[in-house]
Amino acid sequence: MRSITLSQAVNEAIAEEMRRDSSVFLIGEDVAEAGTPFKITSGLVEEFGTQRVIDTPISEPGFMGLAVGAAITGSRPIVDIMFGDFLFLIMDQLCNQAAKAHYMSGGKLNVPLVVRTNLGATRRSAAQHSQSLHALVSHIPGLKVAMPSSAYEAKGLLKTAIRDDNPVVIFEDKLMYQDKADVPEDEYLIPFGEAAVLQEGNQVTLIGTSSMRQVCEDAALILEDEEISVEIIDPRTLVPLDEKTILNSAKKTGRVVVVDEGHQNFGVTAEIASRISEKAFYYLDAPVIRMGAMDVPVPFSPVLEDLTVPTAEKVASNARKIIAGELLHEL
Amino acid sequence: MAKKINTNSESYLKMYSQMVKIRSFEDQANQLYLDAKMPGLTHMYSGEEAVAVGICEALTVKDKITSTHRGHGHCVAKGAGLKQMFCELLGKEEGYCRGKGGSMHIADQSNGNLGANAIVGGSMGIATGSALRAKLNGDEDVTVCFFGDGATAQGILYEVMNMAALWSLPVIYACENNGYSEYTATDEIAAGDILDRARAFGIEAHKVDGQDVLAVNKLATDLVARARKGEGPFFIELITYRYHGHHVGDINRTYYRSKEEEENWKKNKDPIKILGDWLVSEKISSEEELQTMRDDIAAEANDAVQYALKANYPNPNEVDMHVYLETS
Amino acid sequence: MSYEVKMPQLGMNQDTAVVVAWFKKEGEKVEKGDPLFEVETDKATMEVEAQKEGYLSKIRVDEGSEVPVGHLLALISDNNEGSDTAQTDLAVSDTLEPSEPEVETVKNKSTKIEVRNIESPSNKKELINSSSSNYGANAGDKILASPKAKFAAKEMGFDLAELRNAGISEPFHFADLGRMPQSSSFSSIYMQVSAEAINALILKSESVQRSLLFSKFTSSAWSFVFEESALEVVFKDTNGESYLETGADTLSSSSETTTITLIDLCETRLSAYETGSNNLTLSFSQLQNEFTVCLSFNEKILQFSDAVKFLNELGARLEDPILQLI
Repeated sequence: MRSITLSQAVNEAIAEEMRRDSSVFLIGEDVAEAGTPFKITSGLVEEFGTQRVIDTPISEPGFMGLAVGAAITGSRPIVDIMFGDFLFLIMDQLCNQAAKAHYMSGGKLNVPLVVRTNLGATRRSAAQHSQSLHALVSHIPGLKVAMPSSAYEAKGLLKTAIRDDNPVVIFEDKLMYQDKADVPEDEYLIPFGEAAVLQEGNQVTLIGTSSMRQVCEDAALILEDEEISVEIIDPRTLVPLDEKTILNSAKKTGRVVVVDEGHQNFGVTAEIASRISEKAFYYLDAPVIRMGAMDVPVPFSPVLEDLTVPTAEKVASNARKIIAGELLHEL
Repeated sequence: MAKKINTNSESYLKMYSQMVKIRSFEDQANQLYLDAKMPGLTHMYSGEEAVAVGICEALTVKDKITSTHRGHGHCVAKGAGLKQMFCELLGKEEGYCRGKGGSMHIADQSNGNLGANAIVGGSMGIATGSALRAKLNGDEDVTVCFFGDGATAQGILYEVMNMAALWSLPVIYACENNGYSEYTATDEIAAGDILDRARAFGIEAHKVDGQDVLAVNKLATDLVARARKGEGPFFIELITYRYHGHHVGDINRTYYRSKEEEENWKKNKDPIKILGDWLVSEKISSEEELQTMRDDIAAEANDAVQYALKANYPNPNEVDMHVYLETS
Repeated sequence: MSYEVKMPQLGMNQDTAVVVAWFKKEGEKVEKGDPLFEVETDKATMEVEAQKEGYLSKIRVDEGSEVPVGHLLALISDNNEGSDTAQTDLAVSDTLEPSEPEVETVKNKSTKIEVRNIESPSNKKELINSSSSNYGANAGDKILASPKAKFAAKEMGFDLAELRNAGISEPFHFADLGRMPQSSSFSSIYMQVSAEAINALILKSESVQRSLLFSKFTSSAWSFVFEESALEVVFKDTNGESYLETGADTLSSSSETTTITLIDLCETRLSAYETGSNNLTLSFSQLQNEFTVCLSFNEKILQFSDAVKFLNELGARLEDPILQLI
């Protein structure tokens, strides 16, 4: 099987879907000739023309609103939001308009659009270009949220997102655009609401979203050297969430560490951990441990920035402790 | 509504009856509120009828509009039925949005009304996006974006006008300037000139007397035809007045506008009276005919309200339907 | 026909208002738009206009009254016929509700905000302070264990307190259940006695059953040794099924009654059944005219010396049944 980068996988997904359905178009800043600063959409404007690969002025609320209007009246826009931090700029159009139009109209209006944006710190881009804000949009009924963790998921989930008739926000890890993974040449789609069990084990479950999948896999290698059996789950989509797979794993191992790159407080780890506590309570032999990014704005200095994100060593350490029955908090 | 109107007389009488319909609807809606029979808040369009009717009569059913929180007038003018509108205002199942949107989110998609919006300026992106879709697909429809003078303070207006102008989109921005942004006079919230804002982007802008439905309709017809040919976007500022307060509960409003001013507009600048007088003087109709029309429409509105009051609420199991569209 | 003048909804959170003044008198002509009455809410005072032309009839609400939104205040009649007609009209509208009940409920849900007087802490009893000495006083008695450990302990009939007593530190996890100190307090004692007397009794009378004899001798031996205490016998057969003596009712649950389980292995090749149950268990088997009796007991419940006394007494009676009659 061939191995391609996450950036190439995204490019392929967009190109294939635009060939398949002429109502799909791409809109955003520098998406045409520049191919975005991350060089993801290079080549698309040459194939599809400027009518379907549209460069916009720096007007996030404006072109997000345009995408909503186009979607309501029959198009299927893909909106490129250059940095996940800019989600704050489009919240009214995304959360007040796109998310609610189908419901508020009693099912008459549909908004089949995709917002493609990114997350991930440790790029030395500081506080306003490093945020992982997927929890914000997961909280809003009417939106779907996808979290690809490698090139393979990026292509499969993006194709599903484009074909979905609801507004979908998909977050790519900006640090991973050049990372390769095995991606089939033949067409494939990854359905929403299906988590992946990346490896099976029976002493502890590590749940890692997006960028944290790799961190969990690395942590598992450390633990396996100590003869600890680790199960790893990648949720792949937060909305809808594959609760069943997560709960089955929690019941099997009785110990869970949830790892996510959003802030630890009031975020994705809290949601997953509390569902496990609520629905798999009697199977738990240890408290469910949450590991998110530190609750500070992302600092610039590399030494400080690297302290704010979960690492494989920290994940392995927590897993080791709860297996040994050690307390992570005061009794 | 889809059939083309052959004679001018018919179209004038149609405009008259549409304006009366809006006025009757609002009178009933206002009464529902005062009788404490309507949940939530609503915003009356009375006084501004010529704006919605003058413009919508220049549109076909395929053309689109976006509306505001003061959206009943646009909704009626674009062809909506009164029963379904009252049902929506009362949260009943037969409402346009199955009771899920209410007054501020009423949408009538089959007639091209993409929806009222409770966020000031919330529809501007949507209207411009509809026009973008029309241009990209080579569709021939035009989108009209209604908004108030207060909404000119929202940044998104300038973002979308910029893009509309850059890409020559078939959209008409219709600014209903009724002199007040909630409880504050327009000149206290809008610096400079409203038309200049559009002209700054190279958008052709016009001002018109919003109480003169024929003038509005003439201008709109002309601009819609040109927009359809790709000469858009356009901007219209319509000078008008709302008789009621900002919302139905805004009863004591002398602190921001005088009774004399309100009386003046009602007596001397009422759009229904202005057209009525003109129809009579041009011998297109008579005072008796017009009175009959008004009475008939008032009765129709009353029937519609009574119907809606008795209609069923949605089934409780609908509460979590339509969050997502699920296709198998 | 009369037009009903009702208290209007004047603000989002307003449920009632005070009628401050009437601008028209009963019987007076009003034009549409004339100021009719003045109303005061907690926000402001405002004039309400007449919505219809006519004659103001039957003012129902005095100046100064506070009334709910939707309440009927007065009527505007087409003609000024005096109070009789007005009374008739009033009679009809008296029976009307001011507004439809379901809608009112809906409205109230969306707009009602209760204004309560919140007492300042100083004139209430002291707010509970989590750091004060009494708060959570009993939390220290709780046994701390993971949900999985607690659930499994319950299923298996284990008492987690025993882990605490055994000095194992909390919180307990599932693996700690394997360290339950059950074996240390469970003991068994064997006894061998001659079966001659019992077998003779059985041969003499067909109605005498061995298990019944054992049961009676066991209860008597117990009562002899422990005067205040009664013994209840439960039989257990080799299928593991438990049952009471025929004729006995359900087990009494009195705390003065001890239960013993009797297992007759005489028909089998087995010699004894030792068990670590909390219940007293007595097994007996027979070989070459000798009974082997095994008593299993929890030394926390029955002391060793008492167990010896009891078993000895039983053995004496088995060898010499006359003792049973004394």
